Amino acid sequence: MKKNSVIIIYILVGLFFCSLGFFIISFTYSSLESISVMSFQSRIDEYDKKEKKFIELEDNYKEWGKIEKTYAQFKESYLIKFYDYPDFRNELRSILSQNGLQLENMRHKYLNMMDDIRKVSLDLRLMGSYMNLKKFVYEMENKNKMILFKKFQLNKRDALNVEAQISMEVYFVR
Amino acid sequence: MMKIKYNISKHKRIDLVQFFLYCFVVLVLSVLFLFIGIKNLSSKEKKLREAKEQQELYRTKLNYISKNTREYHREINAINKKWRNKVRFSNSLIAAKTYDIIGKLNVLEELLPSGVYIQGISFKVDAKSDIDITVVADSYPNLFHVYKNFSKYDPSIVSESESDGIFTAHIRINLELKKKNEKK
Repeated sequence: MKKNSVIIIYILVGLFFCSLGFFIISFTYSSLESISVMSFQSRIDEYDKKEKKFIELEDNYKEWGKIEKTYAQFKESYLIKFYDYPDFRNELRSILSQNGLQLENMRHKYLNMMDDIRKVSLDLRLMGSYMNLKKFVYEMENKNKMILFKKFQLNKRDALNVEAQISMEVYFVR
Repeated sequence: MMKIKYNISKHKRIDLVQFFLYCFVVLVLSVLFLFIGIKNLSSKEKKLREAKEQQELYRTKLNYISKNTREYHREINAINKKWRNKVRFSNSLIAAKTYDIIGKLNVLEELLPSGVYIQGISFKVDAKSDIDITVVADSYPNLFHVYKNFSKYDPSIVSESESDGIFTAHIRINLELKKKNEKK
């Protein structure tokens, strides 16, 4: 009986310490995991920010990928074909005369820009009423093509008319 | 005569009831520890597994992001290098196209009081926005009124003259060209 009791005591003590050990380990393990998860959860915002930034970068990358097409579209839409230059000159004269402006002098200067783009600088000396001049500027300014006013000089000629020295730049594509 | 009892045995006899009671308590405690440990693990396991899956998903995403970020930056830089001048040139044209010249002239007209006329205007159509104006007024108070009206455009009087009661002034102002709404 005595020997059996000792064996039972050993078994029970062993079982007790094993279960106590298991209990402590299970709590430690789950606490450590919880801490790791909580630290991850606290960084979720940071991850989301990174993801958002990456999406922007990806969009940017896609846009850059389309640059060749976009540039071609820009030239197609906003630059005048150089072989249409005579038409442009006729149109300019027609707009001037429609607005009652007298073209006293027109000088052209040609300059090759990058690739196949050509710039024509126009220096105009016009005579007419201030209102008509404004109409002309408005009409040219609102054209879809790259017709840019660069310099303006208006001087009163007489009671009704002003003399305008206008520098413009028109961009063409060959 | 009273009988005296001495237990002189080397191995005392065990109180079995007490012994098994202790054994039972130890056994119950051990089972309790085991039970609580298992329950603790099993209850947290689901949450932890979900969180870990999410964490893993984020980790995979982050790896993808960091790998592709480098790639995208490299490619964007390469494209940028090739197209930088063209893009800059196109943007400068687009920016120049948005300058509102009519708006500028309208502002000048609105600021002129009666009895004052513009004799000359000169400006470059660029971001600097300096405008040279020559105005003629029929009286000095009217001319002074012009200075007052233009005061918010940082006017500087370049010259001023008087002849036969007509006052002429050359003023330089800084009227910022507001950009029109993008129409392109």
